[in-house]
Amino acid sequence: MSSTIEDEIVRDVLQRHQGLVKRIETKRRGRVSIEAEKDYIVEIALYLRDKRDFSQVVSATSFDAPDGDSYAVVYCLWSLSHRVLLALKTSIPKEIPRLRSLTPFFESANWHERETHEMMGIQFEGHLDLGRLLLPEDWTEGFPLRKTFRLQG
Amino acid sequence: MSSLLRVNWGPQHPITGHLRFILDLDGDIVVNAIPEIGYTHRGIEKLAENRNYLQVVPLVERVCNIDSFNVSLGYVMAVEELMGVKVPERAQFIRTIMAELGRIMSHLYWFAIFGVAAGLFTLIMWPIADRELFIDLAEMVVGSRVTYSYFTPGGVFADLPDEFDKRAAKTLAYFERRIGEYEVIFLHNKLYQLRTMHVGVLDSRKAIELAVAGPSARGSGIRMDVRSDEPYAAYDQLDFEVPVEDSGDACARAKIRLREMKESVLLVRQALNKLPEGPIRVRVPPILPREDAYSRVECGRGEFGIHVVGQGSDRPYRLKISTPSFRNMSALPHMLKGARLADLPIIYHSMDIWPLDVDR
Amino acid sequence: MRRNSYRRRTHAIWHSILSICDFLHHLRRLHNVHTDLCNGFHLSGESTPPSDNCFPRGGGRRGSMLVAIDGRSTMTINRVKCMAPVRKLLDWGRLSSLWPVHIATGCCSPEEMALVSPRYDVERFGVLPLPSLRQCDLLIVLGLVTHKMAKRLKLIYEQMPEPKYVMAVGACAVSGGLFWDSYSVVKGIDKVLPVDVYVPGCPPRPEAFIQGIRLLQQKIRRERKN
Repeated sequence: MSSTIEDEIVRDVLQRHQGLVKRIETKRRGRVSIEAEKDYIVEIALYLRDKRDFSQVVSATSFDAPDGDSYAVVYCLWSLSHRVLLALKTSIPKEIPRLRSLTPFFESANWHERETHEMMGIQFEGHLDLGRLLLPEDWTEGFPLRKTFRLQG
Repeated sequence: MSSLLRVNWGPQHPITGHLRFILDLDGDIVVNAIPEIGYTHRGIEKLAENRNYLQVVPLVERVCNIDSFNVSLGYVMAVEELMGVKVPERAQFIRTIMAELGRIMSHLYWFAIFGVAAGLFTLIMWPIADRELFIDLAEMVVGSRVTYSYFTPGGVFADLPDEFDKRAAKTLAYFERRIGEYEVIFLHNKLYQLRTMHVGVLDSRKAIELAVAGPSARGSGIRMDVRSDEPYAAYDQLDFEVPVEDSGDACARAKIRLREMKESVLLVRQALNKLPEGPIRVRVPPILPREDAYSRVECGRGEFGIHVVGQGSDRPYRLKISTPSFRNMSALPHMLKGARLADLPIIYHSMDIWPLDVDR
Repeated sequence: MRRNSYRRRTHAIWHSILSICDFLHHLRRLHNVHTDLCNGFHLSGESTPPSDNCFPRGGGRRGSMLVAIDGRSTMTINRVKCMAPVRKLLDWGRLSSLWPVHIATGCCSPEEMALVSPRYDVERFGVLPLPSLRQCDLLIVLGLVTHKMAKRLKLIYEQMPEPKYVMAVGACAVSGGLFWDSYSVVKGIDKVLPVDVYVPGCPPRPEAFIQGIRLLQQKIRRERKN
């Protein structure tokens, strides 16, 4: 039975990073999802960039994880040659919301991380410019995308 | 030794939309450009958490209401993937037809604003007048001019009216001739070429690194189009070409958009000929399961990515919208370095950056 | 023969226009206007350097006009009495040439382009969108305004010379609209600027937009009577 490109990518990553990956699955054609500890995200992303042409970060998002104690962070990487979108997921504790930045390695991650920092308060270590992006300069009301931030109707 | 002059461009500026550039100028050459966005930030991603997943449709389509068909299509596709819903064939074809009409409207609006940027008044009036014909088609189907809420999870909310075929055929026949005129009057126009050739050059390596999307990337030789990379709606049953140019300048990006409009006319014709009979909508569950889904669609500006996270309720737990303008915006500081100040409107607009799209 | 009659007709038309222009030429030399002028204007004779602080703030004050004398100084024309026909003429001139600032804060802005299109042709009402604030007398707030943009909008409004008018177009400009619960949207532009006309809709059709402009023109006409 011939394997799809998604299966090959999953096999590659498991072979190389077995111990670092918590969960890996092919969701459907063109969608692979990898969940890993926060300390290994950069290593896995660099491997995917160099060996599997996942050269673009097309989206980065973050939200309060359902367990209540952490923030989930999801990077979406796109491979131009394989036409596969890979969701690289991790979670970071709410008390210390810090994550190593992908920007030094992926220029396209720059503004996505900057926005995530502004909206969720996550510190991306190694990012050189986490300044204001969308909110007013004098904004002091917290991080809008956190669940603790309530909308006022 | 010349000293640099710091100049503020925006947020009120001659081109449409509101964002600001802090420019460091050496004479009239831009040495450094720092973009500042957020003047039209509505917090749509947060507002979506406060609404039922159906109520999010009008919210999402206002991210880019010039091409609202394509944006709302991305959202409903993500919700359908989350729920495991299969949309009927007729609805898929109708979605394709309306999405292509939306693309034509988006490109015509782009040409009109390009006329504002370049000071070519015919280029403002012709596209904006022709766009009205496509708005008439949309109004015939949906009832409103620019914001539709026509696509709904499970299908479309109303079928095409009986006269739509005839009216669409007439409009498309007229527009096909018109595109030929656009080519002659605008693209072959010496003034237009002087303003756009070798202006705002973006090489393919940098375009890939910065994840530039849409016609802005195709103008730099990168063959990427969601409709052919991961066909959705009815695109897998239709034939079309993905235009690519190599020069990477503003002229190439304009040529791409003109050729895409030609392809859109052919796509609408094919879809109308192949339109099957059948239902236009299926029932969908009332709640979103505890899963996430990422859908990609090709809008007029480029690739829209919609990431929906469900948590077992009728409201999205998290909605993330990745817009082409946000991605293209990060390429602008690189493109503006070394450019003349007078070329800034052309370079900025050739990337089809719409501040409402950038800020969401 | 036909060419001669054409020439005679054009000559007659030009002659009649030039004679009117001649009358206006005297009117424009403001120091010669010695009686009542438009709800009461007189020349204050003051020359002040242009700065934002000396521009009249707030809405509703339609009785003063700022004119530039030369590149640096401006003069404020304050309230004095005015002859009714002259007043009527100046009001007609003002309402027939409402030039809006090109502001596109929200998703209603594509409808402004539709207004300019040949189908709706708002220019026949004298409305001509311009990029320069100093040449404009109408601020059309198209759609939502965020807190970040509201500060700049106030600056833009203050830089426009009097008399000036504000139109709130779209549900978001009127009351916050679809973004009623947003943390970053101002719930109605009348919290920041004095609004003369509200045009609801999401977005309003160009016909509704034109009705808003006509309402504003009627309002300007009524101001004189009051």
